[in-house]
Amino acid sequence: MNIEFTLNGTIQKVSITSVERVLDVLMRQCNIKSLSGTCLEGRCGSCLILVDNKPAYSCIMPAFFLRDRRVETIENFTKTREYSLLYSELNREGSASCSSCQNAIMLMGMSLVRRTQAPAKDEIFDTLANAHCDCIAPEDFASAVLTTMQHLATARKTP
Amino acid sequence: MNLSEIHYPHNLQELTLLLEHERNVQIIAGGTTFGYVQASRYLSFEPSIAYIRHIPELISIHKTERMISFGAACTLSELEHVYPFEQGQAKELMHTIGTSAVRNIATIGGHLMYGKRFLTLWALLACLDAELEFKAILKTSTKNIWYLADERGVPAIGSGNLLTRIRIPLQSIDHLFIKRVGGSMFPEGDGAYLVSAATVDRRSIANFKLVVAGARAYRDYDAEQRIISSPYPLPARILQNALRMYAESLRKSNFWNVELLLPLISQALENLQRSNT
Repeated sequence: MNIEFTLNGTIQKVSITSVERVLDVLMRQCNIKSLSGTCLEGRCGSCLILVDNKPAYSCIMPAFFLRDRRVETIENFTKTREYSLLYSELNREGSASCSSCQNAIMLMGMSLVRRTQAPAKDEIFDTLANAHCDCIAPEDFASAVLTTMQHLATARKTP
Repeated sequence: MNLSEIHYPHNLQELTLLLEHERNVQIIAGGTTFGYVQASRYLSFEPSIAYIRHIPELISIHKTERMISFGAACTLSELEHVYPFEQGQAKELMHTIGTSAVRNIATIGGHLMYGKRFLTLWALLACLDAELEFKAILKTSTKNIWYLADERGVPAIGSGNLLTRIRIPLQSIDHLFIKRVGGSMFPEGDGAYLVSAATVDRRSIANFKLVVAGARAYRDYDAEQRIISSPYPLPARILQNALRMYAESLRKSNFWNVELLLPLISQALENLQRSNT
């Protein structure tokens, strides 16, 4: 069956069947390179996406869930100022993650950073947990996210 | 690899009509029944699927003076900020289910209708007297959550049941005790949750329930009544009496580990004694 959804701001028309996972459709039909499907059980975090602004594991979602949804992958953020800021803050904290979880970490960071209000630390830790990453300290991640948000808030106020 | 026909009903009427015409439609809103469970590359469903996350009646949350009611297709994340999950131990319990990326997909309806065992939130909802609304084409019925268990406490979900809403009476929870025993809860773990909840006035217990739920569900109605009918704080002999009643009924069930659960029930009752201080 044919369905439509929004991927990184662009409307996508794809042909799906009931047996396919969101991960497969994004990788094969939409040419998304940032995802990988290692576990197919939502346990590794390498398939993380944002669906309607919320983190979700694309490997445990059937493709028919996509209809009329808004999906974002890290490709949507890599060229933004917010991404560069968060990336340099993480580096400054000495918390650059390994290559296997970097996309998931940055995506979780971006989902927090683009909010207008600062999230509580518990919420940041909860969001970071989605990435199942052991190579980054939650406190450092929280610090990088909050500092990035402060930089952005200051930049917005500056004429 | 068997392909299924996918339906996207727009409202409850369309869904009930579909269920009337096609008896074996698999209702899907989240991922509880297949998310962790299907590890093969291709997913497998019944020949016909109804995806119900688009149905407005099934994703709404209503709060009145006396109760909260939420649609069965609400995700667990959407319920995090409403009674009874919004704070304290209930929130922690919700967070044990999975990360937010899981809770953003899994729905409360899938959680309750899992069918193979009673999942994480079941015991808490049973303690709070949750009621479930089921719909058929010409009939709406409301059942207590214990409708999902047979007389031995084994999950008993009849086919053709369309769970539409969950209603929980709003009450003051003055005592809430939650303990997990065993390993994992899902999908086939040996874990169970012991939950007790009570509303306590100055000199009496207005409401008390203690539920254990995992592979089976357990509750001792008589012991609860013994506790409710006694003055508060509970006299020592009533506590002993209640513990004896729990021990007897656990043994009679021939399923639960009495040596493991009885100390936890004792802890729950001690916690109840301190809840109004």
